[in-house]
Amino acid sequence: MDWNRLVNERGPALVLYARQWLASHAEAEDAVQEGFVRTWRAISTGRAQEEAIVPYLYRAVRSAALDCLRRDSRRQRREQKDFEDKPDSEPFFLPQEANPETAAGLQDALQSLPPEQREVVVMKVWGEQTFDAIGHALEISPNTAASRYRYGMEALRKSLKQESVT
Amino acid sequence: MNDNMEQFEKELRETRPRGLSAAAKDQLLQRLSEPSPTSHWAMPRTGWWAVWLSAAALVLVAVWLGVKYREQPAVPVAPVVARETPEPAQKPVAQQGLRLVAADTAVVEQKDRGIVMPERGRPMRVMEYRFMDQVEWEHPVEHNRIRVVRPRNGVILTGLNVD
Repeated sequence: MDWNRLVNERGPALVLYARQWLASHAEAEDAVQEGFVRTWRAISTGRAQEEAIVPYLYRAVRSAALDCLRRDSRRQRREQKDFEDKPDSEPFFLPQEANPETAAGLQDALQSLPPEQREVVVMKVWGEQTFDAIGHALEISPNTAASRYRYGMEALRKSLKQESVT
Repeated sequence: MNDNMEQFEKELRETRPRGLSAAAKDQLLQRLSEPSPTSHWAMPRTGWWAVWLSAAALVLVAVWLGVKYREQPAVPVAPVVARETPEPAQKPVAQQGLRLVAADTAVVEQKDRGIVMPERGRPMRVMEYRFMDQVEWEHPVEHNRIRVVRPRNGVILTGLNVD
């Protein structure tokens, strides 16, 4: 297993995925690290198969991010408040030289999506996963994943359009 | 998905998410390069069903063997309760390449030691025997022979019918 390649290829989308639940980039990095280690252990002990490693990674990162949230409810509330107060304090995306406002606008639009739509959109657009793989990772049917994606993309487009008008 | 949606997806993908920092990536790769966690519970890809199948097969064989032995008629054999000298050691000779050509055991003396009354069960007669074991080995090429004669003592308890 070429972990180096996997970390390079999948790392950014996984960090973005973890950011849905975590207020800081550093915490998202921790969740991604934990997700990778859990996946590595699962493969080493035969609980996961290499062919289905990417959906397993998403599931492991999701689980690690939620564990991180549960660890300290007080901290969670405090950080959630910070997150709501300063949603763009730590950007989700790399700055775009041509249009620096795009990344910030996209981050706002993503954060305005319902969580179940947002995670499907992130997995499909930046994770480049099929609906089958998304369904497998989130334990939902591929049709449900496709439906959430469609609604999420429409909402995202609307939100971005409004932002460009204002 | 229509083309419009695909185009929008492509546009979104151009905005790239922030990845892991160099330090986090190094730390992660270091953790992933550690020796694989091995667990004695780790199962091959075939999974637990193979283990259960093997266990079930073993149980079936054990049951079959149990039934088979129970069907055999019981042969009354007087129990040997004590051996004062071990049986002749044959293995070292065999390892020299010799082959066994003759083996014989003869009772050279027997003594009736009387009847014992155990706390539970039937009374038993105690017979003490003196055997003479004789084995003969031959070298397969040179045809030299070795004869070993050894005495052996044994005590046999035989149950008595008092009805």
